[in-house]
Amino acid sequence: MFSLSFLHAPDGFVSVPIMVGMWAVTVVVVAYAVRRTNQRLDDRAVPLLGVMAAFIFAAQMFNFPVVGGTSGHLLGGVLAAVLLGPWAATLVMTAVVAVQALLFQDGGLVVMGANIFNMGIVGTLGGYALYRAIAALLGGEARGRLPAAAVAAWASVVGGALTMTVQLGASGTVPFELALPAMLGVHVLIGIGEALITVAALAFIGVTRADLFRLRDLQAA
Amino acid sequence: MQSDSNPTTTPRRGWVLAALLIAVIVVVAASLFASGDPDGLERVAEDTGFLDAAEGSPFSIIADYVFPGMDGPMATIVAGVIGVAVLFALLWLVGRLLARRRGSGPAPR
Repeated sequence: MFSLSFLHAPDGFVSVPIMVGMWAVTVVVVAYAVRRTNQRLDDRAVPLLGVMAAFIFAAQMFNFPVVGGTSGHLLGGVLAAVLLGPWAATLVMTAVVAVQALLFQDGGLVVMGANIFNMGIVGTLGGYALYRAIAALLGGEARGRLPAAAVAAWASVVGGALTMTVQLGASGTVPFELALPAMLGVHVLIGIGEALITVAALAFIGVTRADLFRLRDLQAA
Repeated sequence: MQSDSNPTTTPRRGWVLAALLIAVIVVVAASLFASGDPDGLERVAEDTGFLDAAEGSPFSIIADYVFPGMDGPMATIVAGVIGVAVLFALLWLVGRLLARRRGSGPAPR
């Protein structure tokens, strides 16, 4: 028995060398994220860390339909990064993917390194960089927050699908040129759902607890 | 810094509970309304013929978000609430371990 959900690859999809390589990359990035968070995270951000992990886990259970009898769900990396900063967000995403695999058998165990990389690192760090760049172009986060988050959220899904496809191709599971259009075609649409939910969540926080947007700035550089 | 830029010094327990309630509502909604269609990767695996490569887990705790011994939406709600609680507790703990003690660092208080 296995379950697949979104980019949660089960064991067997990715070859052993690729899985080992992805574990190595993931361990290094997560260790760096711990270092960047340690003694820098403001203790007032601690409840939000727990809340983000809980919410992202819950939202990832909610598969929404996209065209052609296919579904997708939120990743949440950009949402977490906008609120917590990229490194604390990486820790949140890592924990979500790990608990899904360990407790809920959602995503394989050996392939967990690759899954953390695809769902918790690429979109979170890359998406955050893109978010900051677009927000700067739009005249700062206060003005550009929502459009920047929308584009970054969409890109985080497409980016994760892209790295997953590279791993599948490099593993010889499926020819890259066959998997690429299929993976991109689906995830370009799932990304729209990611953008909508991310924007809705940020807009909701903007209305109810706009002060949380300043939490990230409290972290020591 | 302005006085209103002092986040979460206002009572935060209520807000945290409200946020967790939202997570639980999402879990309930997911157990009732989530699409059962194959997701992106599963669809592609099916269509391009590598779904058979999937290997099962060597163990099963709350597999597929169905709490063992229960069925229907309730099994998924229980599974989801456990997940929400575990992740909230885990990240709270991680945050506690990593966070700078207030006043001990250079950050504004």
